[in-house]
Amino acid sequence: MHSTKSLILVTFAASLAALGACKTDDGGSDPAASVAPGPVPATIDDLPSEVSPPSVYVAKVKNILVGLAPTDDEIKAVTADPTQLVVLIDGWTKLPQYRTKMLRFFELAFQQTQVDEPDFADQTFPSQAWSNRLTASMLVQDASESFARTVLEMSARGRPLTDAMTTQTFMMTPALMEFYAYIDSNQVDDSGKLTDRFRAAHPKTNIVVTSAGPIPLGESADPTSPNFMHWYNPDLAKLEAKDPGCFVDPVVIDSGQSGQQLQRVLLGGFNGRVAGDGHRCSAVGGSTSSVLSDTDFSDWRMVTIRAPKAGEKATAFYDIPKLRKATELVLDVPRVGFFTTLAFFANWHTNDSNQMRVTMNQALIVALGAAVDGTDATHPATTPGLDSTHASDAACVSCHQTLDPTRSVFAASFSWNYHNQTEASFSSQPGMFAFQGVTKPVTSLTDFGTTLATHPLFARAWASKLCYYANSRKCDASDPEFVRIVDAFKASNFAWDGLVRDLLSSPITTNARPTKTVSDTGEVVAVSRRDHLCGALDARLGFDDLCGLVTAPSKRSAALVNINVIAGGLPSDGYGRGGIAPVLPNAPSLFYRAGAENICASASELVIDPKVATTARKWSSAQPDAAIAEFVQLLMALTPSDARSAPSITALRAHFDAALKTGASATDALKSTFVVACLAPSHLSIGL
Amino acid sequence: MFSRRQALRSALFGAGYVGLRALATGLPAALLLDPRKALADLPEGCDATAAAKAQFIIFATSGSGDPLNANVPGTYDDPKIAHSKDPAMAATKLRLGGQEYTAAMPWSKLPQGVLDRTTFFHLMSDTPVHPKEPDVLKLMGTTEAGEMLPSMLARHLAPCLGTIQAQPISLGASSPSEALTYGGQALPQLPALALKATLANPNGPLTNLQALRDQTLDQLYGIYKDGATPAQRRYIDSLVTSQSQVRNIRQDLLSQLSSIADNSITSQILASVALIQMKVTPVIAVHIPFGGDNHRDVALSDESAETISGVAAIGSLMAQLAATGLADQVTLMSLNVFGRTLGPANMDGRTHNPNHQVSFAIGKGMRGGVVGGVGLVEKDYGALSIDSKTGKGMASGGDIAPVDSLPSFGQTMLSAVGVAPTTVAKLVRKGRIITSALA
Repeated sequence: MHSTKSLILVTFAASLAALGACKTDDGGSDPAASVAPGPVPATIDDLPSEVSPPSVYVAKVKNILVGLAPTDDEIKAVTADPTQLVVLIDGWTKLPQYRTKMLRFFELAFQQTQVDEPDFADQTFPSQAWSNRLTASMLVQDASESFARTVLEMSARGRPLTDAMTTQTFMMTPALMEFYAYIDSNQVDDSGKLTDRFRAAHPKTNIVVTSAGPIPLGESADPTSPNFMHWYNPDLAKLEAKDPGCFVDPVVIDSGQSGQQLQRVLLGGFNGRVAGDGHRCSAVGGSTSSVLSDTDFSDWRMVTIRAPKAGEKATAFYDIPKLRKATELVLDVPRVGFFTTLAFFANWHTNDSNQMRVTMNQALIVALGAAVDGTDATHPATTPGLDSTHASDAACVSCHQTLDPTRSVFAASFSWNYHNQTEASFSSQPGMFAFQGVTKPVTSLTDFGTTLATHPLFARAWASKLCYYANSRKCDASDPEFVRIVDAFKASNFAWDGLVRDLLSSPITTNARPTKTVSDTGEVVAVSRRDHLCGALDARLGFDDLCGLVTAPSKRSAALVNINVIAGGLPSDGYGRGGIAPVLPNAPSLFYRAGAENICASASELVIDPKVATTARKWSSAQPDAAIAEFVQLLMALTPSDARSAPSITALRAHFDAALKTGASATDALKSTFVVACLAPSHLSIGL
Repeated sequence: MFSRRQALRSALFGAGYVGLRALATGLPAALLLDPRKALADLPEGCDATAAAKAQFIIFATSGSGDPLNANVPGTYDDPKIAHSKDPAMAATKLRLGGQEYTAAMPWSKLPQGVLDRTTFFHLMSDTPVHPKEPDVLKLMGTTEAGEMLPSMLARHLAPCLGTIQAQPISLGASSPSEALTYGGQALPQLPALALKATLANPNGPLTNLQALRDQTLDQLYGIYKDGATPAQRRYIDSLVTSQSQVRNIRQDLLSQLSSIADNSITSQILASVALIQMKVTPVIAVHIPFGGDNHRDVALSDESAETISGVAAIGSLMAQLAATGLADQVTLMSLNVFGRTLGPANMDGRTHNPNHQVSFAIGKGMRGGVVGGVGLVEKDYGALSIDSKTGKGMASGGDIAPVDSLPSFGQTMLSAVGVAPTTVAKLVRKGRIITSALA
């Protein structure tokens, strides 16, 4: 244990050492260096890199994987035998928190997130297919999570990651199945012409909504039933009171209205209606029941999507009872791999000018970690789909000669609104995959997915993504250790958990011994970005999505709204358009510090003598010593054998006592102590 | 008698343990006590000329490639250029720098005092690709160490303005593509709502204990630095700095953020003005929509609506700056990834135009007017060459070729806020300062 005196001497010496190495570097790469005069970060760059002890890297790896703090036994085991880290990792990857962390990782890496309700408007042309924000936000959440859940499920079943390129089976909820089926029924061609298949099949059927009494959903969806298209909504009277004349029971949406009105009814919305007196009714947003229940948004299962057989009809989007039981969807629009999901398309809109180039480029970035940038020496012998304008422009052709033939398979399959391609000049266009050394004709999306799955860049791309996530930096592709990891990933037939084990136990991550990656560019200690910080708070404190990262906005706890908003401004692992790497702000800005402090303060209200019931751990201010010991171990991730533990406990206890002396209550004193622990460097960073 | 021991104890533990904090962190005590003052005391990079011209910058940027270029002065001389038929967008006369021009009506509604210091630059960004937004902000590879223009501005303005931090803040980035970098490091995107919640400092017992917490955290920083690797020590130093920065935010101005209810441009502007008053940063990036990526835009209706709202937002910003006494201390400038095509076939939407992008700059350092112009290029329109002394667009001649117009814009902006010409030339390797644009 350090005494105060020794602490001062040690830190003083460290300061002097830093001062001695000081130099001015106006162009330094660390943001803080440009502001603070004196011994700023640039002073340390010239010092030799050092390796990290098990107390640091075991904490880092466990935090990355599950958000939890290490135990003393775990540190001791690795200290005694470093190979035990692999054993620990295997155990951690069986914890439920691992699944939660990987869910977010895959959402980001497959670019299924960063979408909101308006982003789906292209696919639901001519307008958004919902007006009830309560259900709409749940549906967006489902769409964002669907593919990440698919990959987790496939991985749990022992399938290789390459299946993510070719799968036609996806994790879905009944609500998401309904949405896919709805989009299938509302085809939009390249010129924006809408084909409303529901209305075409039922041209004279009114949609009736009544509160008169429950109607079995099977009858509502059964064309042979007298109750066909009669839907029960118990809230009409309430709505009518708010907007007289608009919701007189029964509400009849006549046959002149589009199938999109039925979609809105299913999700609990009405809008675009005109009342009997001619006034336009207000939109209904979140104040009415929906036909789809809450369970319909959370009942996940693997669902196979296939094309209709001869004479077979696509799945009816309104047949909710059938969807609730289904494990198969029959759809006209092809769905293969990560690159055809509703969320991916919502992220990356195309149009009659772009013609799927952005879609293709982002698909290449996700799958292969590389983009079309004009430097690729792959030149296909034929260039089907090459845009004639760009073909004649030397500045453009270097990109377009690979991008255009490659995207042809998308243009042949989808209209610009991501429905079936009906324009013969595109649908008959053959595709020629030409990218980074691979040239191959592709005639279908399955062909395309297989080409991605077998591309030489695939393994390295996914090892790199994981490297960014774990180490907040790029892994050097020429680092022999990284090459070993990539080769092992290939040899394992792309077993994801094997890659996780290899990379997280590697010195590239642990810094337990020098690697080329670290030697060339230095060790990176980064802020605990949004997903890591929130994951740690959830795992360590027992919250269920404190930051609202995987909870639809409409379902988030009011007590957590402030935390949710702050979390929205924390550095994340998001990808920008055309970016082959995530944008990773690694330095702790003043906003990060202020946001973390407010999150910690809000969390303290929920865990110290709490007045609001939550799933989280609770500490009593009547037992401050026990609480402080746990703060240090749980939050700060310092085990009792860590040299930093005892002085930290002393400092926190002193803080508690000093707070009491100011007149603060024991509850507030312990809350403040909690906030200190929550703001400790090891909790706000990856790599301490 | 004051003993040596007492003196040492006083230095270490007095004044909020600042001595101990300085020892633990390696940062000068003066910086910990008042970073802004400590920085302001540093003359380096802020001579009298620079101080006189220093401006806070609100930097509007869009990776969508908005049709801003289609409705500004300089695009109404050629009758073949497509404009919205919306009466609210009608071609309207306005005066810039004492000279008459024509633009879409919304621009003419800005107060004359604002127009007198508004300059439009007809530039070529030389890319039709959205993901090149970061490259355009780096002036297409012409800046020193690949720094972005807003970050170069921030780095050189911070000492003169005495801001809490030198890094820009990105309030308006609508995707990671619009994120800024500073010294090679990615900067976070901070939507206006998140900014409000992040900086909120509610009255209460926990806030009352803030100073005490800072002291305890300083002790923890010292504990963590014991035996830390260089990178770990560097990170802890950054935490110390950020903690000091947070505490130097003027609490009395935080209430100005209270009316922020969304992440719209209105909220971004409100937040920008408050951040400037708080002297948090020299440069704040916002996103003012001017029609977006409007490939399909029947009758240019989106373009019209957002041009009207975009210019209104500028008007609102200028009014707020005037009301807060900041009109002479803030320059608004814009730079988008590219502009849109202008020809007559663009009445229902426009495509990407690598040859023409329009930036505007509004501030005390600008002489109102139009720099450059448009002419036929390839199958549409593009920026003309520019005469740097007169600012006129030249169909032939001119000492700034279209491809150099972007770095020339960067040079001119740096010069406008007091960066010395020799430094400007070092920071931006191509182009030249367009002196006629400067007041």
